[in-house]
Amino acid sequence: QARELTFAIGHPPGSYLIKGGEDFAATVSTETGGDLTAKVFPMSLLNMAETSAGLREGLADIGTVMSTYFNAEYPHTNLILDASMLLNTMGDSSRGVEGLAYAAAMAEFILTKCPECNAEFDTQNQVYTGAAGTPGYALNCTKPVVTMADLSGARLRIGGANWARWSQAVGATPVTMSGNEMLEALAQGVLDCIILSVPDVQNFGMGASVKHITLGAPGGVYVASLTNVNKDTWTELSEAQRTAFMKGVAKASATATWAYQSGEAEVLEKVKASGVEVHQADPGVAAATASFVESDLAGLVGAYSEKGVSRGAEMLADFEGLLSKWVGLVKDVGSAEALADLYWTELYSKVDVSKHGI
Amino acid sequence: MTGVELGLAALAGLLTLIALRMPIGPALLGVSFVGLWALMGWRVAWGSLGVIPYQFSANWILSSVPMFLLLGFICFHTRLTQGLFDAARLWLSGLPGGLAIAAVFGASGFAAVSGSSVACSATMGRIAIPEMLKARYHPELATGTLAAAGTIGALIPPSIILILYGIIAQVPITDLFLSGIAAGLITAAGYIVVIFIRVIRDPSLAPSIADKATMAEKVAALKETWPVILLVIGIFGGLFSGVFTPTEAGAVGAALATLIAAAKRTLTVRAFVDAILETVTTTSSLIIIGIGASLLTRFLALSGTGDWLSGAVLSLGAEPLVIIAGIVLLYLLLGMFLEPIGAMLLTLPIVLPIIAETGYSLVWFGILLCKLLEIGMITPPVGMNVFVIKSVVGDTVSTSAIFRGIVWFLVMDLFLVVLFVAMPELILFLPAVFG
Amino acid sequence: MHMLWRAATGVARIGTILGGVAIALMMVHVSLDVFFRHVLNSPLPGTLTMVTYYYMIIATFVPLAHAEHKNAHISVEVVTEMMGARLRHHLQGWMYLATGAVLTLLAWRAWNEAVKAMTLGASQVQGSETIAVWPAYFALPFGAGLMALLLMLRFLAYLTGQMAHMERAEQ
Ligand code: NA
Ligand code: NA
Repeated sequence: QARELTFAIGHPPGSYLIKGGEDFAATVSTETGGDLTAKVFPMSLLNMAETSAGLREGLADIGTVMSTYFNAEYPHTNLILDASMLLNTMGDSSRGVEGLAYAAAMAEFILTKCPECNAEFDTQNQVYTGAAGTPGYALNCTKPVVTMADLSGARLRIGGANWARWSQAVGATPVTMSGNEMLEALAQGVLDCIILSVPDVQNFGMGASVKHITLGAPGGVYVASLTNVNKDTWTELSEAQRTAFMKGVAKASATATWAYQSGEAEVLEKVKASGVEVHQADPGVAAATASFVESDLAGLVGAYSEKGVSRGAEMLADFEGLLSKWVGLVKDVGSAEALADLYWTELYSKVDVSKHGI
Repeated sequence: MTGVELGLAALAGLLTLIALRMPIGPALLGVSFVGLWALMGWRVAWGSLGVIPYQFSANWILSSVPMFLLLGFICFHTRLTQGLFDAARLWLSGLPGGLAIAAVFGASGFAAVSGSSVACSATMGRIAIPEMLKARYHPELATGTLAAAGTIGALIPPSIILILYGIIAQVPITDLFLSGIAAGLITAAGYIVVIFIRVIRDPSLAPSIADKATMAEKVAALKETWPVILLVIGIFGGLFSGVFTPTEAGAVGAALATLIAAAKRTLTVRAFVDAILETVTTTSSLIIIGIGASLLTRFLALSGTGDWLSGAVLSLGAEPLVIIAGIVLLYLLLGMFLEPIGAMLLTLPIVLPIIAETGYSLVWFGILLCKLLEIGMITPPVGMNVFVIKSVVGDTVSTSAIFRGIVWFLVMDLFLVVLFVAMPELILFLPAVFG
Repeated sequence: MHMLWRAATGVARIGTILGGVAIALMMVHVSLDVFFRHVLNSPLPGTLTMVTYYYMIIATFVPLAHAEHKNAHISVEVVTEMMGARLRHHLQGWMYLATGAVLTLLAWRAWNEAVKAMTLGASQVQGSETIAVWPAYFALPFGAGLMALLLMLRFLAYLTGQMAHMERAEQ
């Protein structure tokens, strides 16, 4: 009896995450000889805000969870996400591979070194299986915002707490705004910049108003829990099916993350041709950002201990090791296929499917 | 039973309950719940009933609905818009159905500040319908005009539907907006033609206003239109100069209307409280329907009924024109039941690749789709704009009377759909000129 | 039963006031946020969160019962219009029961969810601040439960033939 799993992703059809989801479906089907299949629902089954609770209640079998939407549910996972500006401390070696490394390091950390993370997913009736990440966050602006003077008082739309703290540290005004409204807000001048990865800005229809892109600031990435599974579903799968599932995760994670990272270069070429100016953050901003990251990491541990994360310092130290390992591993990867192989051999194949999440 | 059979049975059950006069929101909730239970088991049905109602309502963009409703109710209760309609009455009294035509103009203007047709119907309905009924217009004409005119709100930018479509289809939103202006204005013109024809054929629908005003009286009436003009300048000015976003415009507009009414000394505590209370009741009775439609959309997605309907319609033929005809039919069917954004999300993944193959422009298709989804807002049994108008008129006009009033406008809408298909350049010329 | 009806509609009216306060606060909070952001370049903290997770939830669900009391929930009369008065009366009575059953289910489910949110301490992060959002979850079972109660009382009034009497008594 073949089984079809429902896979809810809160991104629109055609986006990078959806491509990853479709590769997941193809891989699982091939690996199990059609015994296990998956059907991807782009936005139509659960949106981003609904996915965590929807997975918990079994509305979907698999879902892409943006854990920062759920502050109380996932404090341990969110600590690692909130620390993503760590990448700024790794120098040039991480440039161009931010998402590839961070997504893998985060998945390895959660799968092998963070029982608390798995416990918080378990409480939400989910099993964590893997991650996908964006390229480094940039300033997508209507005017040049390159120096500390430009940043002073600039209204920046921020999507996460770490970018809010950064904005305040560099003298800008962080503005919280629904993602669905960024386009108009930028077009009308309510905002000066959106802090987001370059391909997301362009692919989500906000490109028309962006005239200046500043790379290198603030940095940091977003990593989604790409393939969380409803716990009952996971338990019902056979071990062979779970192994096929993890192969699918490796493939999906590589496809989506690679598409993001190579999408950045493509999108930058395209917008340059249409007259958008691409800048690099000036040394003053880089220095301010570096000193912000240092003091912020110390502050993070304290802030998260109030949310019930007791061994934050230890977690961050463990994670930093994994991150620099992964920066080294992905540095010379040349294709999505090679990345999928690397993710499989170095990470996802090592998950003991007879124990994980059971 | 297969998923599709279950889906079709659920739709039949829904129709029956609505016909037996169960309130629409609970009917949608109940049918979707039972459908999900039968299809996926108790756990999923129980789970979705816990997740969807909260998540649907906890929505920032949706907050523009109560705020624009409040704006309309404040305008009405503090008589801010009285002057505008007095002026329109005096100036347009010579025309057959002058007030109805003024209402279409009003809706087109309001469409330029409002992103959704529900808000547009609510606001203009609150302003115009009482005046029309006072002038002894036939209730079906008065309510039908406003329910239909509201749909212009989603065609003329800003438009929530067009923004979402642009994102999904990866077409420039500015092109969609420019084309939307053309489609919205053509729609407005079409509705005015409908009003003309109906009133000329049966003048009793809209008795012409007997008192002949002098030119001096007409000019004097214009002076009383300043509150609305100030309000519109405030909202447009703020939007275009980057002071606030379209969602925030509702709240700022309501606050501005309150201040203007205070300055005009027509703001009483009673009027303000009445406006708030009407907003509350209307918001609650509308959003519960939205929640039901949202739940039904998940059920149709999971049962495969959405895919099945799309597949059935698209298998009709391979000729581009036949495909387009099938798609028109598909959305008219879905539009009967679903809320527009849900219907769009459910079907676009299947429909978009097919459109791309026919060689039709995706910008053009976005406008056609928006038009079709908006037609769904005024077709029975689930027609949100009709319900909004119903909540505006209360017990004085029945829902079925409003649906009867819609019929003529629906005929015009279908004609416009044919026109858009036959002459795509009609709606594509603006982006061609400015793009 | 009449006393219960009077008490329930009284509570519904109080709920509407709460909904009204949410609507008024939404207007004021958003307007002030715009003002502070534009004029002083410092947005009010928490606007998005308060509007989305408090005012919208309260304004949607708390007034459900009052809307039922005022017969403001939207339905379609196309078919029932053509029926005789007796048949329509009986149909109406049993529809109170059916609608009441749906609302009871919703209230029960929402209560569950609200308790879950409270136990977890559901909250949202806006900017660098964390705002608890779980209290508003209780608006759902409150509004839906009260509406279910009104519907059940109406059904009982229909069964005991006191429908006209009960509705008249409150005027
Ligand atoms: Na509009
Ligand atoms: Na409809």
